[in-house]
Amino acid sequence: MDLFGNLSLGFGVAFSFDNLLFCFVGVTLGTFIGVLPGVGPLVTIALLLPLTFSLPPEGAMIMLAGIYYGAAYGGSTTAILVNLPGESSSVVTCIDGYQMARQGRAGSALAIAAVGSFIAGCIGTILIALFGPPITRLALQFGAPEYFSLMLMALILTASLVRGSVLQGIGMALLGVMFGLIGMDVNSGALRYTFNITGLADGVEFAVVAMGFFAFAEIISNLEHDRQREVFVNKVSSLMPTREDMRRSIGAILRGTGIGAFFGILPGAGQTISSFAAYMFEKKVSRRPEAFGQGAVEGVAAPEAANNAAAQTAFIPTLTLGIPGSATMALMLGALMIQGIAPGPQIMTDHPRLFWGLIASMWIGNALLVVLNLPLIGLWTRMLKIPYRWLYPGILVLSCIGIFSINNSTTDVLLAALFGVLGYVFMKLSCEPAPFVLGFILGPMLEENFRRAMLLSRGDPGTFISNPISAGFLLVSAVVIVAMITPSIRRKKDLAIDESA
Amino acid sequence: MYVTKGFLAGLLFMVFGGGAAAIAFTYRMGTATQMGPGYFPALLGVVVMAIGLVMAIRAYLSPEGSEPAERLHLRPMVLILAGVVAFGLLIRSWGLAPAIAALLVFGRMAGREGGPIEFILMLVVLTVLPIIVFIYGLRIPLEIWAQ
Repeated sequence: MDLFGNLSLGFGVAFSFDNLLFCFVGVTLGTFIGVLPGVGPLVTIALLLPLTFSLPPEGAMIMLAGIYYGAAYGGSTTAILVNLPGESSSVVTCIDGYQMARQGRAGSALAIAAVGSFIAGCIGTILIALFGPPITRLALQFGAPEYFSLMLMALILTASLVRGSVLQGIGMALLGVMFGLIGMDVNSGALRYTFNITGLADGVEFAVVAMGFFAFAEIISNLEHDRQREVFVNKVSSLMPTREDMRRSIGAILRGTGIGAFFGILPGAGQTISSFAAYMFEKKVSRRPEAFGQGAVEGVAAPEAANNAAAQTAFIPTLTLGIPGSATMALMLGALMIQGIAPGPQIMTDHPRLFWGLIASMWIGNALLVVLNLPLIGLWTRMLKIPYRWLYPGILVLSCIGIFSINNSTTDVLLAALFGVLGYVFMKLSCEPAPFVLGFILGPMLEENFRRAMLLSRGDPGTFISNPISAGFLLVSAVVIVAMITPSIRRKKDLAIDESA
Repeated sequence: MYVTKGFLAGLLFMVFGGGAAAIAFTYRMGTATQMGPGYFPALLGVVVMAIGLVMAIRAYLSPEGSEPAERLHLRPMVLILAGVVAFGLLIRSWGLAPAIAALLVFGRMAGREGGPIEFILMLVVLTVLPIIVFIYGLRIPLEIWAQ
């Protein structure tokens, strides 16, 4: 069967010594990053982007992916032990996880989180393998109008699901698109918005924007106030969960996985929303909802499973359609582009080794995470105590070297500094960077498809609506916009996002 | 006071959108069928400007809808900016080591925490480690001390 053939190809790629090493490095780094407060997977992936240039494409993606779901996973450790989420999607785990730790059941909580994440990760990987090819086949038949509407929909969905008004989100997305247009216009050869700076002729390097927004701006923001943070770490006794705990968790894990898998595919704040949604859902269907908040093991199992499942399924639109659903996925796409691989449905047919190798290595990575995390708990908790004043200089040095190494260009570094300031200003104005980053990545392709669609329809903009699939995407966008404007739904969304902030 | 986040963000959008559209109109427009380089950016610029206008008006008319703008902390912003710029300017002409040093000095001034010994230690570690990892490990062509 096609699936088995593809999977065996994938495992063949994933089990090569190099790729195993990259996978291992990726998940270890990812967990480490997930544990450290103040440094998220976004920053890490942004930092490592330029360096993956020198790695082979499969290895680079395997490592970056490992970091990504490793961090989703590692954030739960701090959430449980210290009541500090290492990752935004682990916020919900704090609620019951920390209570379990205070009751001396930290080991059980950690183990359940690990097992739950593993099961969710496996199921997520299977989903990618199952749904990837048919979605890709469908997408390959898309024409210019469909692509345009699809990308627009992704932008609008992301813009609507982040904090703040929909209008602002869309504005950010379009602003990002415009920045993405800087450089030479492929169609006409004209230079746009370069202001005679040679370094801009090829456009703004993606890593420059990423570094500026997610590393520099973040650091500036964190340095606003001198921070003293007391970290009290709960003792971890035994790591074996009780039979009772396991029995109660299995349902939660499966339900959480389902919710996470669904939300992960949607563009927008997939991971964070999914863990929150899984928690609320679990509480609703539980026979003892009052136990939640006091150390209910389901309160740990469900969100952990959800956020790991979401981390996996987020790859589906990214790899099959070339449409990233979040800033992190946009970074992944950026990494692919640095490797010279054009994002889109042709990735599966043009680079099967990369596609299936990546999927197979996700499964390996999930297994590694369980094996790694549990014994190394002591190490991770010690990491928690690293003061920020040691971290941020390291991030600064790493980012600067990374940016410079892309093109040996001083302009890139200076631009990154500018984007750092811009990113900081955006933060102060509560303008979300995620839609901007997505717009930036999709910008040139958006214009290309718009152009082509108009060319084919001879200047008729109705082509986007007369085409059924394209109309469908636009309809979804419109529905979402209207939904987000409706005060009641908007309040629920804001509440959900604020709670997870 | 109406200087809320929404208002300022709206203004920002208007500036960016308007500026981009103005520049775009100087490029060749072409027709809808055969778009010139200026068509799409001009379109986008106008839309962004319109969005900014709506946001600003909304925020102006009902300032309770948005939060008051937070203060920009200039010190860390300017110092980090200076540090990265220093790195960028120095790495070509003077080499990696001076560039890192400049970056760390500015970074330290932005952070204000930690003693001098710690700083020296950090300087050493964060210069030696990248040299090993990047220049020798990943073989990225960087000069430690440029001539």
